Amino acid sequence: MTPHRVVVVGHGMVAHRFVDDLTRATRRTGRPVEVTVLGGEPHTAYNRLMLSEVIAGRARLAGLTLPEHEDVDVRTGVSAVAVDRSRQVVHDSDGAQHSYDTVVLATGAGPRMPLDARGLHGVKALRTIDDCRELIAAASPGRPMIVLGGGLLGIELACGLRTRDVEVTIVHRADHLMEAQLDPTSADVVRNQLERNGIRVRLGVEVDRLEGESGRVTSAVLSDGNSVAADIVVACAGVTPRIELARAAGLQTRRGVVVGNDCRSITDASVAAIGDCAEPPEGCAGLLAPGWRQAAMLAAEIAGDLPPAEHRTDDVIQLKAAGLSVVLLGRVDPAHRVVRLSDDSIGRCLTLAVDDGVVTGAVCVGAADIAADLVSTYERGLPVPLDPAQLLVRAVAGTSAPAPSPRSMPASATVCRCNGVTKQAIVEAHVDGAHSVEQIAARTRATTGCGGCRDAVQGICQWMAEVDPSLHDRNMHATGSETSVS
Amino acid sequence: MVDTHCPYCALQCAMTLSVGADGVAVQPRDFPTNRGGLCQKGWTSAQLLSAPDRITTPLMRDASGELRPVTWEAAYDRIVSSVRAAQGAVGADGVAVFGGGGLTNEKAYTLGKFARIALRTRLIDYNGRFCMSSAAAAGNRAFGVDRGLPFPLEDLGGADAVLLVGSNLADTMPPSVVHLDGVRRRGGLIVVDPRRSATAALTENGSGVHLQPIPGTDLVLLLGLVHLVLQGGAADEAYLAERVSGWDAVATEAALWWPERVSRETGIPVSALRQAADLLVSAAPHRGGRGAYVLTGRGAEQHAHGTATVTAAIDLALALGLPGRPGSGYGCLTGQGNGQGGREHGQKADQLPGYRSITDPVARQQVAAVWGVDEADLPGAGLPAVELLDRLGRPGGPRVLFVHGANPAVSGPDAARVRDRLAALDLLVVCDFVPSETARLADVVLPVPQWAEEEGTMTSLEGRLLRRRRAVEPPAEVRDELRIWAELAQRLDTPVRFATDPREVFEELCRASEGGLADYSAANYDLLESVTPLHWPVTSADGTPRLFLDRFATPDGRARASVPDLVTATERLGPDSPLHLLTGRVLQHYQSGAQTSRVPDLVRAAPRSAVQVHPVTAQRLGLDEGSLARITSERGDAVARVVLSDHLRPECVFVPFHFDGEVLINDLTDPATDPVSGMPQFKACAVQVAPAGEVPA
Repeated sequence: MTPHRVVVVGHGMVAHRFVDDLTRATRRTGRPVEVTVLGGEPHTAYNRLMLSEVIAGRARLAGLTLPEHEDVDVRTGVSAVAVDRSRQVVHDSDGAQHSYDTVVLATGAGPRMPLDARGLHGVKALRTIDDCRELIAAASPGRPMIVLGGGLLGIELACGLRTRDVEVTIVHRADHLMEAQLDPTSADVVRNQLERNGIRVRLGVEVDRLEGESGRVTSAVLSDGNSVAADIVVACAGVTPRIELARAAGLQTRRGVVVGNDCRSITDASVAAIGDCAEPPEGCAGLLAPGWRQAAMLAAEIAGDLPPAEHRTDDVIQLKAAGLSVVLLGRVDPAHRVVRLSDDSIGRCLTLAVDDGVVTGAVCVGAADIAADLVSTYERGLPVPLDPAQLLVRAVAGTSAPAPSPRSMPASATVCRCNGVTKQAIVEAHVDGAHSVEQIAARTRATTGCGGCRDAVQGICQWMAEVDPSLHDRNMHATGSETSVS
Repeated sequence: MVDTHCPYCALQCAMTLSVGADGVAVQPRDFPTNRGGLCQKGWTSAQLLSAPDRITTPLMRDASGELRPVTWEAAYDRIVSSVRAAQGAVGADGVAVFGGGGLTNEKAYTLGKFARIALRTRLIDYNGRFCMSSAAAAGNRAFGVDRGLPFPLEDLGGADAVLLVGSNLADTMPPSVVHLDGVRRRGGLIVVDPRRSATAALTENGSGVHLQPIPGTDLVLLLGLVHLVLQGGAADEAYLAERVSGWDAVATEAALWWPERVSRETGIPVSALRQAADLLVSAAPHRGGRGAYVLTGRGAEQHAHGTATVTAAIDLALALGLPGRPGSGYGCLTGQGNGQGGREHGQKADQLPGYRSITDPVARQQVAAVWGVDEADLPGAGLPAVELLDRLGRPGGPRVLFVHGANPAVSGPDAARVRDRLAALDLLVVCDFVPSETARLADVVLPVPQWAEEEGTMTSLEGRLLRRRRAVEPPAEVRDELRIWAELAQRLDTPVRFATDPREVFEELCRASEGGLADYSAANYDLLESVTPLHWPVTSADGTPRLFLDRFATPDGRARASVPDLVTATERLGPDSPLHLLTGRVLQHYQSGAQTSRVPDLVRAAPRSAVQVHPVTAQRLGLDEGSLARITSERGDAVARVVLSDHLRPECVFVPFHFDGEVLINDLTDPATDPVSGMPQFKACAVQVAPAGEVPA
């Protein structure tokens, strides 16, 4: 069987996942493939999602490298310059040609620059490992910076910079943060939490122009006429799919490369597109999970393997931000039963939509533990409690009642778990004359397992010594405390 | 007064037995592992000696289908003729043997020898396959040797952090909890369990953190912790460079498991993941901590991806530089009384004494020489338990099965299928002292002594050799297994003699183990009389309390880090089966319950199986405390009484696997097995739960 030649353009997280899935799937099916990857960036594949974590000091650049593929020709620093569809050949920046049976475009997306830098230094983005290095070098304590855009990445980055004591201002065009995902109430709670963490937030404004000195940015003038000092401005105003290559090859593109449900171009089925550069029927998501799902599907198809069995929901978004928890899942449809808990004083706001006994959407701000439960309930389609509000107040962990006092403890309560000894048994032993822990142990075996109930038994002894009237009478007359009742 | 150890779990608490007018009395004895403690099982263990349904004579099924007392000769005749017939029909493998992790070292060893040279079958395996096999496979791969705890249990006391993955030792071996006092005082106990078990509750009041994952996701959780250690720059780079191989691949795999992704898979909040990682990192010796331990139990291991999960736990320990350092390490908490020794001396399908492979020509030569047979006469590797049991009574499969110290009719996964296979045999021989569920299915039942009636050695969870001593004589008609095998071997015309004196057997075992991984060669009963602790390998009178201090037992002396295989085999929940069934033990009972269900005090304390259901789930399903619920999986169903508990995740229900005559929960569990270890998927399967109404009395 002649191998199916696959050329992958780009080596980001989705491309990497695709190659990995393809390797596993062909190992199962035995179908031969020949895979070439044109990496573009001068690095081996890395985990781009973690860049904001590196800024926050919670991840290391060196730790972002993704596993190397076996038996795959990966060319780093080599980009594709043209796709010749008539000859089914990709031309690369080294002048080499790669014949393909399927070319997989995974070129990703580039940052959108919503302003004119006017040649000033200090205007940046956060998309590559090099961007990340530059930002870390620039992020010194007290330095004023503007994060342009209050979406997911903007907030993650602002929180990351704040951990380095940067004076961060988020400038956001819409009237509330993350307007694509959040309702105004939740967004307000997010904003207040950010401000509590020392991040300034300017909403409903744009950067009109940048001011500079000696070729460097010094401040930004906003559309409301106010000026914000900043010597670094980081654009986090969304991304634009990289489709130049596809467009030049004559493939149909809109926002991204237009593909069908099979991830293949509607113009030419030997061209596939996955991840941020692709525009499937449901539109561009700009998230990792749909890209990974596309990768798995396409890999299975090429390998002749069964399609990925479980369709995991891929509309769960978890913000990776130091000092702020935001988790979104599904869609809060006002037509469904919507339950809300809002508690801005501690930065908490939970909104839950339920329909037909299952969770259909939720927005969780400042409640990581509850969000974790909701995600597992949502993703598995598990039935919700009769009163869905119960999902908003309890953590999974069982309640731990405070240790009861010897007095308030019911007589039937087990004091020594290891040996199944109740308070009543200990009280009876005490009445029978076992007044020390050792005597109680000899009589009841309490404390003789793990020993964890020693304090509790001691407490009961003390309490008994106080309340047992027969003991009181005797103590008035006797001196030794070891008197036993016979 | 006789000094011995408890009959039950691998902690092997020290006890003193005294015989008086009312029978045998138990007193706890001070010892490093139990520090003078005993749980209720230990305290009441002597009650089993006078179990009213104790088997005291050989029994054989008669024409009417009843088990009736017979003479030993009649029983032997029946066994020998059936063995001959089966082997005449399908060859040597027409007979199979199923052993147990509760047998003494002497018996585990002799059972392996009996199978290989008296029965000449390769088909022997044991219930430890349901217990320790995943940890054993992962430990052998990583360290070159599998000793549950490669350090004394007491060492835990000095650590700043202990991570317990899927172990409920507060219920399964209560006296061991004392060794967690130090780490709890310092706030460093981390317990991973989908239930807020008694052990998980030990993290309360600032003693540590409880991570409550979705069942079957421990593997991802552990990779997430590796990720956090690496990304925090907290890996012990010097240790990894010097003592570990294969690390880079693990590091790059872990790069893919960032906390938010792990949270989504496991249901554990990111903040809790970070807290756990921070505790481990600050406890790690290279960060100036007092030390840290990573310990796994059956909750992590009894899955079809159990070996991979243990591998991830070992990877985490390696990242922190723990194994092979005094005061730190990785270990697994062995379950059965002789679960350690039982897996070292030849009960396993692929194994010869000394924890050596039956395919290793050198080991074969040596063991054949000790046994006085020709190497070529030793059979090869057999089948792991689930496969072996599934082969019973099928065309070309075994027609005779010997069961020793095990109750697979209850303890096997998809137990109804196991019982079907047992019923398909021509002859089922069960050696037991009580009529266990398996014994009741047998054609021949042979009465054997209990722990207080026999001599021998046990190897505890920390690889320490212990003496089990006789306090009372067994009932007159009871015969020791060593004698039974010797007598059967003779009747089967085995060319060599089988020793019947435990001391003599032990000496032979020690010779056979020489040069193996579990090398006992310098041990003997006299040495065991001295107070010095003796941990294997015993190549000198000192033993080896701590392994790996200088090198690991791998060919290059380095620990081998492996990328765990990420296939999660747990049945996925869905609308038709929206709950995970978890199984486990309760404090008062042990394994299938064959022993503890005959101890009146224990039955009073925990009389019946029940299904624990979260109140929110119970409300949705229309279940109340005390009502009956039917639990249904793809394989079977069971009815149990409901106990409400908010100690579970709401999508989980919990049922103990001890059989009390009512709820045989392993009829529901998943027989899918681990590709490396053969461990079945006991711990989690997908079920539906509904009200069952009242069952007619």
